[in-house]
Amino acid sequence: MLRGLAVTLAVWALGFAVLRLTIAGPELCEPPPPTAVEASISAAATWLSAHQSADGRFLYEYDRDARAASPEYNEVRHAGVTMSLYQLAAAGKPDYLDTAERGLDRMLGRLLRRDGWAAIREDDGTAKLGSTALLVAALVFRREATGDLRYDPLLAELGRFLLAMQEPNGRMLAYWSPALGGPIPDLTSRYYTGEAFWALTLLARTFPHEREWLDGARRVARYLAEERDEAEELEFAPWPDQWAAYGFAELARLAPLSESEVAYLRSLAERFGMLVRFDAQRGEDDVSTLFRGEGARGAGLGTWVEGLGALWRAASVETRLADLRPAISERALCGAGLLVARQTAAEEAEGDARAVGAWFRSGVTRMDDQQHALSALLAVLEILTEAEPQE
Amino acid sequence: MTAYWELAVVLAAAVNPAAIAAAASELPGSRASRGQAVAIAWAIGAGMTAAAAYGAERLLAGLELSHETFRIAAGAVLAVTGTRETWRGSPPLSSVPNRAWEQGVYPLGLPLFASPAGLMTAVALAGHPEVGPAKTLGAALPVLAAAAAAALAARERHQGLWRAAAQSIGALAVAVGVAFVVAGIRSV
Repeated sequence: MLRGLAVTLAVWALGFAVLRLTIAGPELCEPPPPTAVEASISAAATWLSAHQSADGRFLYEYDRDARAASPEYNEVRHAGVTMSLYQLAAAGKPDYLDTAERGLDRMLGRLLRRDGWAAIREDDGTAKLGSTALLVAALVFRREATGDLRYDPLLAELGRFLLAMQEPNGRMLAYWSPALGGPIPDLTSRYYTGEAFWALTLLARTFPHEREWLDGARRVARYLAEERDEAEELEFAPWPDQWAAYGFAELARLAPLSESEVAYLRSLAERFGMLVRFDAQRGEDDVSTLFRGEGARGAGLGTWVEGLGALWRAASVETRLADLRPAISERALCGAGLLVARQTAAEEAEGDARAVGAWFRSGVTRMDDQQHALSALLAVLEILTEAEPQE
Repeated sequence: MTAYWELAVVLAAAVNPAAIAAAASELPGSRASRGQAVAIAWAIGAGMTAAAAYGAERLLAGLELSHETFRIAAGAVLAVTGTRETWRGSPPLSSVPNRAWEQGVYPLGLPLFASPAGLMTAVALAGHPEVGPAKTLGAALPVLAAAAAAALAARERHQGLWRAAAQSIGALAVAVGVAFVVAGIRSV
């Protein structure tokens, strides 16, 4: 009996070890206190601000091992970083408004105007939907942070570009071509559609009397919820699109959502939740890295937490999602805990100023790591603020 | 998967009373000694299942696992166990003792009445906020009682029938395991 029992227990122990090393690894995340979240946001914004060039460009990518910056740049990511700094200002933290303004000046210097619309021009003369959409978001947050209405006419021009890129079924085309004098047919982006959707909802919120923004947003919303993943062959639906989540969080306040849209948001919450849970199992030790891979980059984890934050807001107004709110909150706080823990602190930077406040993966950070982490932590701060007991 | 009958089906797939019966039919000894062995095994199975159900929350906290992630692991174990049972009908046993009380501990108690699939399923269900330990144990005890009855009734000449039934339940366990994995993945 003892031999059989010993063999049985040995097999159980081996099975437990295999599970522990693979799918049942510990989820190591603690909800961070608000003070830690605020400090992390400030450090990320400081990184973006401290390494900004005089022409408004941010430090794009930095390899801490080689202590070298990449010469590359990306205008869509520039728009995203600038937007996040205005988001921060709109949340009541205006310390980095000057940095955002320099980023904005760069975008304003690259405007392309045609047929009543405006868009951000790439070096080759094309215009990407994504950068223009994120400029819209940046200007809306700027308007809220400063009360300055001077860019309202530009917002309308930018919004008209977004609508010019929209097809009747809500699909958004990604690139405008000067050679074609119009959008490049059938070319879409997994990122830009959600960005444009969010921008249209922000325009609808800012200018409620201008019906075209809400109508345009509703068309994209339906496309995202019912068609996009299949039509654009995005595997493992739903594509974890935090921009779409941002857009639906706004749309839920402006108009009732359809059943398919609610179902889409539920599936998005499940996807973001799973991604955060799995990432929480990735420790920094060699064994964990061997069996579960390296933790997600700041931009990856940041977008998941941004998505959860946006869905938490949507669930605050959409009763059909209310049951998900506690779970979404728990998962967002878990992700925030990971972000705070993985950010490079001054004492870990070994005197490298370009490392402090950044999120590295394989020794490399890119400016959108800081952007998405910053936006994610802002969203979590809202959750934490609500969770705090009211006096 | 929170209705009582659903829990009972899931736990029946995890425990697989037919596989227990098929294994029991191979054990040496009289009918009386089988009764003693089954009683001990049932007590071990029920005790460990109760401990798994009521200790689920503490166990998950100790392992630093959400119940959603644990459900994926439980699903994987169910699927693997179910695949083996679908293939063989009952688990391979070695060093089977002759004394009844020893048979009650091994192999009937561990790993049959108290099996990794059954215990992990109990933890996964009990850790689910909409199920909890009482409902889980309430569904598990009749399943274990059914397994005890099957183990008492099993005779070597009916082994083929028990194996066939165990293979069918094994296939169900695979399906339940896959459903657990999918549900775990598709949870916030």
